Amino acid sequence: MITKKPLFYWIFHKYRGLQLFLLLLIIVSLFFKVFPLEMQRKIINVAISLKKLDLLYLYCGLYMGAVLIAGLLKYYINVLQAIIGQKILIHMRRELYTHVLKMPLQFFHRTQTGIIISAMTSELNAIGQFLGGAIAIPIASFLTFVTFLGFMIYLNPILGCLTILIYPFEFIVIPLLQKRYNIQNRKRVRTTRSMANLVNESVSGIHEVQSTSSFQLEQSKLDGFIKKLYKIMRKLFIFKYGIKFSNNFFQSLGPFLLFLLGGYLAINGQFTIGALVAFLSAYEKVYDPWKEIIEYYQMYQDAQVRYRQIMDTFDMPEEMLLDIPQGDKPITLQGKIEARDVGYEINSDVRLLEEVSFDLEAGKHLALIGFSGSGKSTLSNLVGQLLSHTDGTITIDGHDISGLSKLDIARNISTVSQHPFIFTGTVNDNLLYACEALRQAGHDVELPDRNRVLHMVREVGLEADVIRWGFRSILPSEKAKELETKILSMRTIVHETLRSEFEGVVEFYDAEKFLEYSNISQNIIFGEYDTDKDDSDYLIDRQQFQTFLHKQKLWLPLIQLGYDIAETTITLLQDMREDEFFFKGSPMEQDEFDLYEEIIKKVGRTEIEQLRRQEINRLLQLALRYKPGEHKIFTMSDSLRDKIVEARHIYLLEVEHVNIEQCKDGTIQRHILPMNQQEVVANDQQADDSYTPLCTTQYLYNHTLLDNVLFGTVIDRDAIRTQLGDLALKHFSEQGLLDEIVAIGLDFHVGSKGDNLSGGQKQKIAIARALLKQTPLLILDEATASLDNSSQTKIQKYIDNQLRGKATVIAVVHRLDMISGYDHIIVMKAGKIVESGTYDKLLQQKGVLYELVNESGESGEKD
Amino acid sequence: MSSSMKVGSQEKRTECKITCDLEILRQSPVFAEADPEVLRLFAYLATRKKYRVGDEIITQGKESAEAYYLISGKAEVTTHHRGKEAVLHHLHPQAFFGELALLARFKWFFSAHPLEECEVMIISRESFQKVLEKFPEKRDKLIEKIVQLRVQRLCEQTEFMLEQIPGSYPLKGESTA
Repeated sequence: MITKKPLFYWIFHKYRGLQLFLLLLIIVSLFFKVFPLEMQRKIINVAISLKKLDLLYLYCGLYMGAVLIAGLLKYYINVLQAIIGQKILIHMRRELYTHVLKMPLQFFHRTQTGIIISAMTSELNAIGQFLGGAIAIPIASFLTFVTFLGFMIYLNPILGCLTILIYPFEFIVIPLLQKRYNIQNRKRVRTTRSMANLVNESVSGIHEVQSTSSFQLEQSKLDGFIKKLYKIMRKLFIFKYGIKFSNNFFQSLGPFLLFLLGGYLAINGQFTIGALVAFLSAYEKVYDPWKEIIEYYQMYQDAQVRYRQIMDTFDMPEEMLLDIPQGDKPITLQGKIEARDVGYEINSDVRLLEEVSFDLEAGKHLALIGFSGSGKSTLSNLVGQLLSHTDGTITIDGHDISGLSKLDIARNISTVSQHPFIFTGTVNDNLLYACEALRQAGHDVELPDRNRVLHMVREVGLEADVIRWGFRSILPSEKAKELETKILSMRTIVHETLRSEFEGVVEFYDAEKFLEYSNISQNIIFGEYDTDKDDSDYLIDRQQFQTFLHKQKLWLPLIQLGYDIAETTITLLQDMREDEFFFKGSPMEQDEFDLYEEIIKKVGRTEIEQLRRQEINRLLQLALRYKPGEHKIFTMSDSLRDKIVEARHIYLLEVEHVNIEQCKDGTIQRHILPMNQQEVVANDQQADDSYTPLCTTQYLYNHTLLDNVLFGTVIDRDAIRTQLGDLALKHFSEQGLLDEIVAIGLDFHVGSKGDNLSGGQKQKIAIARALLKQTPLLILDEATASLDNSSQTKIQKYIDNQLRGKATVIAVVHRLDMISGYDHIIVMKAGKIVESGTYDKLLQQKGVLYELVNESGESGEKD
Repeated sequence: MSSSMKVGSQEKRTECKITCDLEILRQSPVFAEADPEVLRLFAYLATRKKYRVGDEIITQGKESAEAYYLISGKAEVTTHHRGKEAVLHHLHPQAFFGELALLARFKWFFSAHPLEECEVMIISRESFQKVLEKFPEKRDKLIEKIVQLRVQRLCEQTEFMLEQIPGSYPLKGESTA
């Protein structure tokens, strides 16, 4: 098993050729390290003392060449080493991940997510750095060490041997310190993990934290770990630098001895100056491999600690048979289930299920009902092999379920749980997840085509949601160009056929009117620019726009408007500035409060022009972002409204050269005023800024589909969401316009873990995902619990009508009015079956089911 | 709820917004005595909406979230009873209704329909609670006002109901057995 493998298993078994090559390189590089030393000696002893310039040049050239080659080799070795490490890491991580995914569910209940995450990510990373050089570094360092020592002994045996004498001291002191260091390091890993866990927990539970305002509580929990970690790190560094210190100390002891002794010998003429210089250099060089050995030793210890801790975390056998045994063919089941005296026990004394027996013919539907804790979910999980029964037998078509591999199960059984998991990605990715998984496992499954996906989306009642997602998206421009005509014909339907219904709910773009629900910049430019920036940011940066405002005498009124808005917001929300909620009615954002407060305090309303340019622009921005209909904080005068509409027409004509009158007949053109054109291009660097006016015949590429269809701003969202949405959709689908929107909606991004979805939407996706796999067995564990009544009924109808005879269904049902369509009903209580039979038979018996049904009938619509 | 305020029409409302709503709140029984500071915030957070005949201001069975103040128009309050809609109450301009929604979550136990075009001012529970979070000392007084209003409404409704069915209810001292 992977977790039992020692750290060096990976090193000895992976990329041996590359590692050998690395070692070879290191040995070669050794030569180029020693060679310069010999050159040093030659330069001093031969070239300088004989005063031969040509020899000096030669030796220096050789010296330089060797140094250069050694440097390049070192560089290449480092890179290669890192690459080998990362390559080994890939194997390690993949194998470990495969192991983790296949571990029994109990492991995941017991182990906190934070631990698994940090083990799989950062802790493995740290090991990766060690892996690459695990073999090469110690061997190479040792060889280097020996080579330099040898060179020193060759220069002078006495001095050489003396140098070695220092090292034994280090051999005692450093491992001692290292041991202490390791203990602290283990503590550090543990504490960091617990801390990661805590952070993970409070982030996952941020809803709870913010709603109970338990910031202090969570903070104090973290504080505990922070303090603990601080203490550990303090000790850790004391030992770490202790090791460093002793190293350095012994290191500097060397030259002292050398100068003392070597100097003495040189003075007495027993030792040449050249040899002394070379000796000193060699001594310095000896230190390098030694340092490497020490570092290697530290890294090794560190990696070993981390590695063991990771492996111990996951040290648990994989429970199930994952792959189909070699030689066997994948099994395709019919779905006949037999359960005999099935029991399930946890912790070897808590019995959740006892002596459960039943038979279910292929294609029949079974409902499991009972109180919560009665074991109905457990039973369904046992059949789905998510849990393994501890007593009795469960067979499907005569195959013992414990003997079936996970892949066989996946091919034949679909399970929908009460709280299904949705993966990050698009709706479509999630719908095809189960099919794609089988396909990747090498099965001959075809992915369902678009039509089948759309059909299933409709059957589970997800279509309306998908359409809404579709309308919410901003299409990439190629896609938009493809659909432009269709979208524009939807716009025509809204504006012509349904105008009276939509009037008042949507504020249509109208060049002659001030748009209460659009911001001031929209009101002026009456169009969109092809930019990712916010409108107001974009405009403020454009000199041309600022000039325009000045020319139209709008500049000052707008700055004043910004000032007034800022002042009112700051006065009213002074005490509320901490809470974003209160900023809904103002164009100011919560985090801008301090900034605007500062500006307002600086000058009075009449002295605005004294402000710095940047500050003025901030005021202008506030005004441009202001939506009179939505931002209640301030009321704008009617005269300014009129002035803005007037300026709009001038802007369209003179700046963007659009005659908005023409767009009414569908012949919108730009650059209609040729007389100005040359002058304009000269003045305006951004003449090519692809401006699109708000014109009924134009698609707006930076707007959502919905904006494009409505061609206006939604005032009453509720009304659009309910009656009007349906009304418009009916018209669109009559014209065959909807399929494209559904397809776009399927590409909607569900967010991390499906955060952009409601509980009901997740559930519907999970049901569709299971049904798309078309397995002979379907297990529904309260799969429709979080859906509204009509969706539940719709899906139940599909199961009753479309799956009868085609798939065996086992459903844990909590709503008793849903069970009449099932062929067989089992009522459970405290882990046992109390009643079993057809719906009619059990009602006639007047037993538990009869009582339950009547009870729920009396309590009325509540359930 | 197919329609709300008219857009772009030359209503005088564009001239006041907070100030107008502040005046309206000041006249309502619940907020009449509240501090101007608090009132101003409520006026800032309140929204307005127009309803046409056929819309529902409140739908029985839906989750409550807002309280309403009728600015103009008439409306009626009804409840399901044995498959029919029984009228409980008539609402006239300046009526404050749905006030319990400010205090707690529940499902509406009555509906409110406009009898003619109505304009309504809406205060959400979220804004009510957010404001009172900042002024906790004002909370008790406001809650008391809401409960008093509710009690008064209950008395009126009981009387209204009893008057609809004279003689058919048991009198004190009579045994019903």
